[in-house]
Amino acid sequence: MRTGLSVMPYVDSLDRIRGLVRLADQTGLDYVGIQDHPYQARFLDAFALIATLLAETHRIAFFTDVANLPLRPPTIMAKAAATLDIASGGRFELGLGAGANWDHIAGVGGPRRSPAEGVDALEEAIEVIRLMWSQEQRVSFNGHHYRLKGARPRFIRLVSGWVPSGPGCSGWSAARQTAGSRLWVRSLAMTSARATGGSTKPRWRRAATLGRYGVS
Amino acid sequence: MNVQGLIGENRTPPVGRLQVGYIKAGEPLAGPPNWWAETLDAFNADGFDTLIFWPIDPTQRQVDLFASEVVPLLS
Repeated sequence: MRTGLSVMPYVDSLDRIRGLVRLADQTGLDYVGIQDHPYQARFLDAFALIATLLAETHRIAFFTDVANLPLRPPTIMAKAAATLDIASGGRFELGLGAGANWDHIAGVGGPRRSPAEGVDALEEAIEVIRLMWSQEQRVSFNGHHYRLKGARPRFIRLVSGWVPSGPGCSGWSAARQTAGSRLWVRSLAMTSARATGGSTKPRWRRAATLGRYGVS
Repeated sequence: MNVQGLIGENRTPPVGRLQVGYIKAGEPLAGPPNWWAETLDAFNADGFDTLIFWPIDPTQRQVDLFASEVVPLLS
């Protein structure tokens, strides 16, 4: 079993965050998770904070808990995740969320999606991210929410894979079945790829979370 | 999976008093380290292989309790 710490990224708590993360690093926990709510004025930006904390730690891994897909284009998020992963020597994993708090998301220019639409968009985004992490010369994707046309994915060479995690999200059908009735079925986690110096072993590591136990 | 709560004998605050960012779909968990270990082991038995402690009292004491008194008890 892997264990970790979820840290709230309050703007006015940076010193405390640093202290908690340092302690987690020193005491042997495996992960630190950082929430991503870009519209939340009281929160620091999750990706920028993780980059900072990665640079200040030595062992522990970080993940977005979970990244706000409606406000972060998957192509750009794929690149950011890959950059963090490689720059940290494999200590970053990408947790993806379909989105919630739609008034806030729409208020800063994002889309407003129903739970079912959110899951559809998440499914498409995972495909887009897979493509952007692929070794193809050019990739195209024609989805309802996201489209690629001749994109050049090989900005970075990633050689291993990732999978969705957790009983509640082991299959898309489960998420689809519950999306209509449970708004909080929004967060499907997956791990980022990792540059492993040529290894082709898939990584079956897992990150966050469906919010609360019992989603499945 | 995130597991939100408090390690110790104290009760958690009502969800309505939690700060922004906390999930308010149910009451946070609360209990001593051995209770937490049993609970996390049960989650693990249900298939969750990664468990993330989300302290509602984000202090060094809570992180230390988790790392030094809960994690060592896990199966």
